[in-house]
Amino acid sequence: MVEKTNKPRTTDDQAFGVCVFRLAGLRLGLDVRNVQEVLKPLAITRVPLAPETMDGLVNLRGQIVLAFNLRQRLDLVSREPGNSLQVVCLHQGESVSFLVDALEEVQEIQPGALRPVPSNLPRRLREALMGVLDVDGGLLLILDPARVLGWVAGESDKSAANA
Amino acid sequence: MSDLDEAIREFLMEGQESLVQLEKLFLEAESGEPTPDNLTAAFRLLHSLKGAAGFLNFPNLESLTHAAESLLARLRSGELAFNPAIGNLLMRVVDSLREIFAAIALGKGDNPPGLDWNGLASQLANPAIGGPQATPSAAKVTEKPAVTPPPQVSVQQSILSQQSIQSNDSVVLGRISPGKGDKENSVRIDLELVDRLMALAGEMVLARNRIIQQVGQFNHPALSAASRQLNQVTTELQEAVMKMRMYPISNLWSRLPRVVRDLAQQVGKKCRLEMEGGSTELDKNLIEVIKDPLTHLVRNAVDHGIEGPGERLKSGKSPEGLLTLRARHESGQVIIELQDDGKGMNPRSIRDKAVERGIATRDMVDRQTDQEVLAYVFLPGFSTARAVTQVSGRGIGMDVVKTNIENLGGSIDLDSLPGNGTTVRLRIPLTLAIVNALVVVSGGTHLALPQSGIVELLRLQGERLKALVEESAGTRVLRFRGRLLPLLDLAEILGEPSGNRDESEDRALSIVVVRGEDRIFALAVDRILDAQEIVVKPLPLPLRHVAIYGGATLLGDGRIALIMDIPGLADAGGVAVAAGGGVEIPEAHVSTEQVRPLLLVELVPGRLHGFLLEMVERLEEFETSRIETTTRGPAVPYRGGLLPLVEISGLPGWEGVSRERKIQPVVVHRLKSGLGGLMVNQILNTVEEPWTLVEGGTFPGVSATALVRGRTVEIIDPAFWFDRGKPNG
Repeated sequence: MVEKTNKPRTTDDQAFGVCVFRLAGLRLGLDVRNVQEVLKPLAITRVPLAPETMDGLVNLRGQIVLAFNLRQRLDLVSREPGNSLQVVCLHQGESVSFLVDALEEVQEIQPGALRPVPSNLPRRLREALMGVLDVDGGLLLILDPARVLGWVAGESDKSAANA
Repeated sequence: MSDLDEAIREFLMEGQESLVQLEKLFLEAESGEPTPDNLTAAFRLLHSLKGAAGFLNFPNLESLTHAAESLLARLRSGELAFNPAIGNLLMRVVDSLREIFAAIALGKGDNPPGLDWNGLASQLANPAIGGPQATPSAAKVTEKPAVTPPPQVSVQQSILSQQSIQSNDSVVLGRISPGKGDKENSVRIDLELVDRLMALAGEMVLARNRIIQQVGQFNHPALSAASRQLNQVTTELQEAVMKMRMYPISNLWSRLPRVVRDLAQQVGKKCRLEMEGGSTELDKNLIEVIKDPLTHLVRNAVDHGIEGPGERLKSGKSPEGLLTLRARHESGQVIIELQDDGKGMNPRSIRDKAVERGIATRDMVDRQTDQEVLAYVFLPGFSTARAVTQVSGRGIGMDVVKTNIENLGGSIDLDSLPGNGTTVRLRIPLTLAIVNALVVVSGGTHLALPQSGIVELLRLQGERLKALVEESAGTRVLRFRGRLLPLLDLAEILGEPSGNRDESEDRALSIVVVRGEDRIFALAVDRILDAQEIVVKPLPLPLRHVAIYGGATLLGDGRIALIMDIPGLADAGGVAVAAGGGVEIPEAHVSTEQVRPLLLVELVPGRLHGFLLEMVERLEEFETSRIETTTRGPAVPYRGGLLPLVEISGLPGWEGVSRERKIQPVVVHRLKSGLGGLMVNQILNTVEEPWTLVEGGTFPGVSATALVRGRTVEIIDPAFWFDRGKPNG
């Protein structure tokens, strides 16, 4: 299941939009089809004894939604103060959310435009990406929804639990 | 044929309901004299089935219902007298209809293979030729339950009966008053939609709460009045939606009379089932879940509880056994009782069996009361039936029933008097989705404790606190009604700074005494808020393995509270099953004297350790070469599976398991997760004489320290060590 190559991990032959946000000084992109909404941060209820990557639970209009720490998940060291927006994503019918520092724009990605993930990126980060885009503002790192959100739906529960 | 026509789908749903009713009516007819009302109702059901079958073009179904209908008409008119053979025939009709429906549901038309149309039709047309067993004696039927195919029926006869049907048809129809219909006022709703409505009503309650809070700030009469009305309507709406999910338990019971009848015939017994409280309502989902356990209990009662007619007569009972099912609401729970007037359970044979199976020692069972001994029935692999019959004892046992019921948050207990029968009592929560809970605060976290697990609330201060709470070696014990309970600090378990360790004179302690599975213990919390009805929501998947939580809920103010799982909490706090502090100390002996047998082992040279013998499944010695290393640690092939092995490393003085020895002694325990073995240096002996509990756990995994024959023994909590061996534990 795990691909060893550095080739962009996309099966999409069509252009798709990514929602671009900033986190710990990086520009990250996530497929807009996975982004449900972006909100001001919601009050997070901490869950004692939960794995470290879990911030806790938020009440999204009566729905109890998991808030996880994307920064920790990707092993990023914070370079700027932030966590000012809550991104709610949808993966296989389950909502899950994380905080980002800032939201930029939605960018269209043409098929074939994705470059392989540079192999010298930190491992955790590298494994969460499906490719990078070399754009004017610098590198745009495109997250692989299945890898970033998949474990939430129990696809690789182990990595979440051991994180 | 996945695309079933909507009309057929609806027909099948209604048809299934009609079948249930038909079966019930036929069973009633069989158990007493069939009343005209009874037959009329059955006739009407068959007639509407026939009508629908004609409309939807199912000719076979149409002719079968027609034939059955005509038989009923003849019974009604008195042309035929009801007899057991006819009873069996009617049952066969119900079964055949069921088969036909199943075939239709699969899109295979109304002609299931293997259905003996001609035999059935001719028998219906002339049941009098139904064979020699068609005598009014019930006893004979039980001996010969099979309905043998009847001899050929002449064409003339069936034509004759057809004619008589035609004329009877209209008569009976004319007597059916439209007012009798009981289905006209109901609509079928998808359960998913009901669940969605439930969730929406829940959200509406929260929105209402916010509005009420805001409105209070304005002094606006009209606004206040409107918000009061909103308040009322929302509450009523929520209640109404909850009611939608409630089903009378009779829906579950409806199939049991048939189960009893068939089984009694099969094993040559006579048995009557009486049901009381069928209108008691409970959540639809729960009905589904308790269906199998309840059916199992009923079968058990018929097969093992009720005696054969001869034996019953000998002991001065009526030859017909009586099973009574009762349901009622009691303090937010549904109580279901199944009582039989059979031979009861013999404590002596249970004792023998327990010893024979190696579950307990002879001394132990002899010391236990009859009531305590009955509980062995719920242990896995325990069955008192002399022989495994075809009927029960087919793998699923009382332990499975118990587990199923407990998984719902319910409980099961038994009463039995030898010679006088057995009563099984199930306690089941009204609904899975809504529970009564006590909300407490610990270190800034709101937590909900299910009310069903709460024994008592205490707030201790000053002298009382000093008298009741004992502190030693960093652990605390609560003196509670003659017992010593481990007192856990909830904040500590949650890994939060504890707010209730302050040492000042006027400090107070809020304590909740809780019970989970077989463990009872006390929890110190920062604050006890209030009791609320909460809607249980599952935790997101990545949090589900945190064993101390059972779910999450939204409180009235929109805040999220975590629902605690009490057995999980006990595990996290190192509370052993009925060991450690959970020890029952009779009121008279507060001297903490214990009579529970201990198994003494050597784990660390020079020190004694003990296990409560009642928790030990077996003692084994394995050749070291057979021990394999798996990803989850060492394990050894055992009883067709792998027995995980755990070493009690980390105890002071522990030197590790010697790899050089050829034989490894192992104490096998039965845990929630299955069997597990603890590797020890040496198994010493068992202690039967009384011993004294000195203090609660002194070290993680040690649930208590005891004085045995003047020597200190540390009592090991096996659950702690196994949980530790698990990943993420």
